[in-house]
Amino acid sequence: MSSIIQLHNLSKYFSVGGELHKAVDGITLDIQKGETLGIVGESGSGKTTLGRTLMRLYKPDQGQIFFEGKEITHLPEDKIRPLRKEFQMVFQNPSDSLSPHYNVGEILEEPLLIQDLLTPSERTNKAYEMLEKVGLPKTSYHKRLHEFSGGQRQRIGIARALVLNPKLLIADEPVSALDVSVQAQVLNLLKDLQKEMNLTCVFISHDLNVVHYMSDRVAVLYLGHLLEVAPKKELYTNPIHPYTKSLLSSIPIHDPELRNHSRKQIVLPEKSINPPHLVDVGNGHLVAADVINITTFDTQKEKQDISIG
Amino acid sequence: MSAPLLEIKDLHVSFHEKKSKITAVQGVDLTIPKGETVAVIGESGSGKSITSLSILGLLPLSASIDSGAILFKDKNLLKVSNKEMQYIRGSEISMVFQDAQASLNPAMKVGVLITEGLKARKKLTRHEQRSEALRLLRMVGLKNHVYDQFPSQLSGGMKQRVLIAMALSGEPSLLIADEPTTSLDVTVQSQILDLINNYKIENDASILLITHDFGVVAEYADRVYVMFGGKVVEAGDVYTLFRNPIHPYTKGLISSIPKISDTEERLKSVSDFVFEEVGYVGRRFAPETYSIENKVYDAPSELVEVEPDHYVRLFVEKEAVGR
Ligand SMILES: Nc1ncnc2c1ncn2[C@@H]1O[C@H](COP(=O)(O)OP(=O)(O)OP(=O)(O)O)[C@@H](O)[C@H]1O
Ligand SMILES: Nc1ncnc2c1ncn2[C@@H]1O[C@H](COP(=O)(O)OP(=O)(O)OP(=O)(O)O)[C@@H](O)[C@H]1O
Ligand SMILES: [Mg+2]
Ligand SMILES: [Mg+2]
Repeated sequence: MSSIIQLHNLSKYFSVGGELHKAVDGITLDIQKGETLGIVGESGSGKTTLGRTLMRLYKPDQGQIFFEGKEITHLPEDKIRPLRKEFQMVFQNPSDSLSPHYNVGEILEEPLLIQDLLTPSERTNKAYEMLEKVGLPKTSYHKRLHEFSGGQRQRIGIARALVLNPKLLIADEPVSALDVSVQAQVLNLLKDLQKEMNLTCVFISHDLNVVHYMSDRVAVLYLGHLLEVAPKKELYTNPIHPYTKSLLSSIPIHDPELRNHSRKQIVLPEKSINPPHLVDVGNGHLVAADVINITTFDTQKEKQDISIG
Repeated sequence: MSAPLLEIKDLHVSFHEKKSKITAVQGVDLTIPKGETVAVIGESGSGKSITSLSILGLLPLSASIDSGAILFKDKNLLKVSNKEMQYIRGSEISMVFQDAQASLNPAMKVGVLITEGLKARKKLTRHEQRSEALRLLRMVGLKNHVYDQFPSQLSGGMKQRVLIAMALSGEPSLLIADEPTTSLDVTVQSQILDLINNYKIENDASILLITHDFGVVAEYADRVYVMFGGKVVEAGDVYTLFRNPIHPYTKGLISSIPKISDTEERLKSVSDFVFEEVGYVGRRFAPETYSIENKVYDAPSELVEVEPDHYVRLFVEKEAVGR
């Protein structure tokens, strides 16, 4: 597999009341072609900022971004523009990101228009094709947003993000605002489309059950730092960083027989001054070096392997 | 089940708009035993908030209670005087509202927010008020300096703790918490729910927990009511309900949530279980007719006890259930 995006020591700072706030701080990470990378972390950990910075919607303050091997960190706006169609985003709240004044057809055709692609009739056909892809009836074309339910609106948001046939889709909490009973449909749709269109996905969420369902690999952010990243199964069964462990232990278990309130121990470490250096402990599992003492880690890992069976 | 602290009996609530009448709650029966956590779960718009707002007489003006009773300590709360209700609110029953964070007065410091409530209920000196407020802050895991902070200076999780401190300041025997953790991330969510759970245990209090998260139900509830289209469609103790969910909507909800233990490639969604929703109006389902395995069943029955302490609004013949 090859990387589609490589981040090297990427940082994004905001100035808040005269003070520098390091929202994303020294993140080094590869995103592989065709994978879904889940990004988890508590509110304010920098998930959205990371997503927006790697799409170059924000100007990075430090570090480098490579897209298919080419550095794009400092590309000027006119050179970035053609790349924009390769990166698309689905937002938490479709009502905020989609215009209520246009009908659905116009919403879906707009990205094509901006990129100056296709003839008007081809654009219309494309819009109908996208409606079908996301499971909405043809009649939706002439309707406006307020005529749809939350789940249907998110389908429209997904259709719009995919109309340009992007290589990378960043889904930022795409189901958090939806009623649980429709979340499953939207997640299934995203998963199907990801396979069908061979998309690379960055899936941002603070719901660890949802991330588990969607992702191939999962990255854990904490106060702008990347603390741990590993293939899904590895991370969920063998978390190493105390913060990851406490995140995982706070997931509600959907079985009253197994409830155990004492197992929850939330560890909120101090933010280290410098971005942590990640070490590879095998199985594609990277973790902040400062928390592991290799010898204790090895014995711990053996124990856990046994308990997983 | 221990003795009931509060009982809702055959509650009907409707909204009148211009010429139309929308029935939001259609004959809900619900019992909250003393010392237990009762969860109400269901689709958005199914009537969870309206049911709970009825308890404290806090319905929107356009709503009216058409019939029913809400029994609490030998009184029908739908019949008590305003003065009596004033007393009950806060001292006997208190509520953390859905989306309440937005309603915290931004111009008042946390200390003032909490002591306002205390003043209304107890005669305390200023000094006593302050130390009581600090005790409450500590109880919800906040440091003393929060007393002098404004809501805007607090994170979502901290604001939610302040709201809970305010709600618990009158030591209520029943706390109603409407989606208390919905906007919070998992780490904070479990802390807040643990806090409520500890209050329940230490004070032998009851909790009415409204949520749409079955994970939260599995972790914290003793009893569960599943609502759908203004009605209770299934109810029972939490172990029974998880072991043997019967109503298609309950089954759908339980299996539509991704679980880490799942090995399945695809999630089932509620629509895989509830095949047909007739009369979809806005966010509200009116599930009067189900089509299951190509058979159409009309008008679901009243709640039927299908096994001890497990009630279901049946839509198929009784014999077919529970197998
Ligand atoms: N435009 C901005 N200006 C100033 N500070 C910002 C801005 N955007 C984000 N931040 C700050 O950067 C940090 C990271 O924010 P970000 O929105 O990336 O977090 P997040 O992990 O997406 O959180 P959530 O789960 O709440 O969406 C936060 O402390 C936030 O307050
Ligand atoms: N102020 C109002 N005016 C008119 N109808 C209302 C009003 N508030 C609620 N309703 C209707 O009453 C029904 C029940 O609403 P309720 O707020 O109890 O739902 P809920 O189960 O709490 O949903 P959610 O999970 O979204 O909070 C809905 O169909 C809703 O449209
Ligand atoms: Mg975000
Ligand atoms: Mg509600």
